[in-house]
Amino acid sequence: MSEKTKKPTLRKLNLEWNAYRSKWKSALDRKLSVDLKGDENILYLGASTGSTISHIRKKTKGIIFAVEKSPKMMVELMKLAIKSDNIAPIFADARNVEEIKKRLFKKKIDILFQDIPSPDQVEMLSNAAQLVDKDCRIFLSLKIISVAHWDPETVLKKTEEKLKEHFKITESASLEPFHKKHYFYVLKKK
Amino acid sequence: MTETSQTQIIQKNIETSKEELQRAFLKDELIIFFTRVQEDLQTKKEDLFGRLKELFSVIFPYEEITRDFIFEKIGNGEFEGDGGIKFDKEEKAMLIDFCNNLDKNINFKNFHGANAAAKKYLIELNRKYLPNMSLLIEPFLVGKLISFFGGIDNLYKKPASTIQLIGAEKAFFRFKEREAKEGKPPKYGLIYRANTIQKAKNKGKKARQLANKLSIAIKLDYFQKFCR
Repeated sequence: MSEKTKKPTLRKLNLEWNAYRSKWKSALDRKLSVDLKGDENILYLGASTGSTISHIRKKTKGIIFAVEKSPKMMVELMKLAIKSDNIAPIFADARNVEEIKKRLFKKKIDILFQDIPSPDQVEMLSNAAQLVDKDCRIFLSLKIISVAHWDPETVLKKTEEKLKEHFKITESASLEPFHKKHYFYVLKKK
Repeated sequence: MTETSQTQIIQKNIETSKEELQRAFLKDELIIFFTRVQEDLQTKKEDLFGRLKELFSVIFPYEEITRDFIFEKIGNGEFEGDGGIKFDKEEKAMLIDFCNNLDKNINFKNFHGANAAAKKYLIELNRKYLPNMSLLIEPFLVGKLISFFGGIDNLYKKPASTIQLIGAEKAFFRFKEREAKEGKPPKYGLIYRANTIQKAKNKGKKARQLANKLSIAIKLDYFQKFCR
């Protein structure tokens, strides 16, 4: 009986920041400029259970606004937010810009990160870019398979054309050994 | 305008999202629980800890759930926690009555009594929350359809054709890989167990009609009873 209850949980085992689990870390290993200086406010779309956020929060003194839609994932994120003094959880759809705007309380945002694999990923990001200023750094992790099912190279070309309508692409790389068919972009507003 | 400080922003966000999260938990968790318990009882599985953990993680979302914790709460008859789902008096009485069939290690004491209780309460819940669906098919099948997708808010978005073929994916994709030149597509999936199809002569035709009616009934029930 008591042996079963004392099993170590998954969260305790994964203390290291692993590039196979986190896309931010794998972008760091690819030598993109995604470092933190120490006092940024971050808007994180698609936070899930907060496995990446639990590592990022040690590196900044600013607030991390974590947006998540699914209730069962949100419970884990709330547990993490109550423990720490750095995270502001937002239970909303990432497409719903007006509700996110209320929760920010006019705080200036330095980094916008989006990791929501879906067909309308680029349009979602360009909508959310209304919330930030021109000098904000924007990171996007793009999953090609969930944009469309046909040939990956042509899909990549078309999505990059779409991106160039709204943003300037400063850096880009594929995250191939860590995540299959994922691409990472560092963007700026036009 | 005075600027709100950093700790104030975080506290306000935690409070508001806690309230919204409480409203997001739906009562279909109970329906899923009772159907999955019935499936367990058919295979004579004794341990109920996994099923009860799923349910208790919705009632007590911010606490760690162990066997001792569940046994304590069942003994006291507490089914309400901080930030969790809110049940009526009837639903609490259901859970207390059902949990009388369990012993200290969360195993079944009384198989027959547990099966009878799960059947009885599933019918009651169906009549209360899914009045249109339960007119068309049996309560156990309704629970199976909901538990297949993991919640009614996933089920109500599906078109009639997917509802007709749930559970027959293997046959369906085998047919699609051959590019529809040889063989026939499946006509029904989980829905085949419904009484109206068992009686009918032309079963494929009846399955299509029933699935079309079901997809309307699900949307009616969801927007009347569940929608926040």
